[in-house]
Amino acid sequence: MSSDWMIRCTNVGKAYQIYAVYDHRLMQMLFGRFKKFYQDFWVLRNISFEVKRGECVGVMGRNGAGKTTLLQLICGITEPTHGEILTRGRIAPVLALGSAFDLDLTGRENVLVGGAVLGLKRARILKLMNSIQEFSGIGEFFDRPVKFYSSGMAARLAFAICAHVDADILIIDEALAVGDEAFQEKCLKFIDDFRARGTVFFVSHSAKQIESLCSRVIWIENGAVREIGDPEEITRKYQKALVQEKDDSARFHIGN
Amino acid sequence: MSVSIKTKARVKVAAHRRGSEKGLVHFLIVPFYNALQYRELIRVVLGRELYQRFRASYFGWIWAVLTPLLMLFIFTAVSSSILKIGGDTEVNFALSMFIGLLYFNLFAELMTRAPLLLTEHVNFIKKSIFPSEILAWTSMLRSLTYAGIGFVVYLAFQLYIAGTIPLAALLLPFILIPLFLLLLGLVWFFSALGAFTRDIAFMMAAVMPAFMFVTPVFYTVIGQPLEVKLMAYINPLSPYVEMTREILLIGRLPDLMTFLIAWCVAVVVFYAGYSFFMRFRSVAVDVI
Repeated sequence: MSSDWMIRCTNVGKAYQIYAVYDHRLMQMLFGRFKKFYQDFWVLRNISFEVKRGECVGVMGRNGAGKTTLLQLICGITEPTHGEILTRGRIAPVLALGSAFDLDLTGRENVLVGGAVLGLKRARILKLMNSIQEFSGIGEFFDRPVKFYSSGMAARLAFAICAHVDADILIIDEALAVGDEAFQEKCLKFIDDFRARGTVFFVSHSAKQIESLCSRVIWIENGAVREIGDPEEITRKYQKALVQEKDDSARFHIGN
Repeated sequence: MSVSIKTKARVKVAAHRRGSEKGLVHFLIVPFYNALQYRELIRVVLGRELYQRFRASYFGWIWAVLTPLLMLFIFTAVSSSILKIGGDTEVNFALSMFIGLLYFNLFAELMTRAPLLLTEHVNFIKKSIFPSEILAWTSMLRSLTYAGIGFVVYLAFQLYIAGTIPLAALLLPFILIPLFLLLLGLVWFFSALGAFTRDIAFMMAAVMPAFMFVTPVFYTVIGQPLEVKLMAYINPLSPYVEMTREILLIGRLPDLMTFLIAWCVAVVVFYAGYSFFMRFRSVAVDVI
């Protein structure tokens, strides 16, 4: 193991607690030391990998495989049940774009809120405002309430904010799916440029995007790493597996 | 189970997750240091909330001034004509009632909102790296803004009616600081608890109206029988109402014992609330 890592996961596992009755949550909180009121649902198990500076790592996997949870763990939004996650530098999460927007505020006002949430100083945001407006490419809608935006416009604005945070690690969760091709192109170019100064962690279902951007791919299946390796090889295997395994609901199984 | 999440921007956050290992001074400073560190964010979230309150109204902030003013006029009118309290006391009664109500409203607004605080900001918390402990500060500052307007209206009214505000009013901050600590502690406690079950929110809504009568809003504790005193003093809010009345209406320093007990309770609640919140914060994220 080398020392120039930006993200290092060692034997990380995450179990969510599944409660039969809603109020058992409170019971667990109060009397948890005496009795266990829940069932464990392991979303991730024994995940170990390292990401180096300048790498762009793609994550592939089927719905419910644990991709988003992995990203949340790396961001520190939720804590792992066991194992250790270390990260270096500032993280900018582009998760579920635009869902944190206040619908009644204008785009400009949301940039102020969103920027502050991402850790930017007010003066810095104001300085970057024009550049953010230009990157988003939503024209006059920038000064209109976000409730009048289309989902694509909201995504544009959200990505524009994240693109202006001086991050060391950019974490992107299926963010580009909503934008049109022109905007996707712009984002992909941004990500490509970003690799020169930082690390990208990128979830996508698009084999094309993964192949064109990523230097390495992590394939997650049922909460465990199935394979890590060369993008072209992994996407090929992944798609082959999809055809073979079909889409059955037995995958979403709670319990052991 | 060793968890350590370290980033440049978050080192402090990660550090006080293991706060108890770092000694007493660290434990005492952390809640304030934390708020200072996120002051930009607190300001933005607060600004957004204040803006939201009057967004769709024509008169905006005028309402915030008009509401307490109207209440003061009605109190004075009611206490002079219906309650038939004559002379100087009628004004005092209205002012005294207003102080009680000011504190109660502040308390009630914070407590009814606290259990829903995390759910309200779920998008920030789950979709972004958001220090959820600052929500108690923003929520408190928001309520304080309105209470503050009410308080200024009150002072103006007293100055107009009675012609003077006692010099002792300068000592008010010594009472308000423990009050704020107490409220923050309670908000932290109930917001963490409220994330686990909605019952806390329902309970608050049910209990608050009754709580109004346990708080000396329409009466004063001094000179009441022991049972009333006991009932009122179980309520953490009562000493503050009483002390403020003593300072503002009578111009007298409050009872030292009451003052010290209030401080102690406030400090304990503050740190207990903060520790409780920080302890259950990461679990709460997974259930909201």
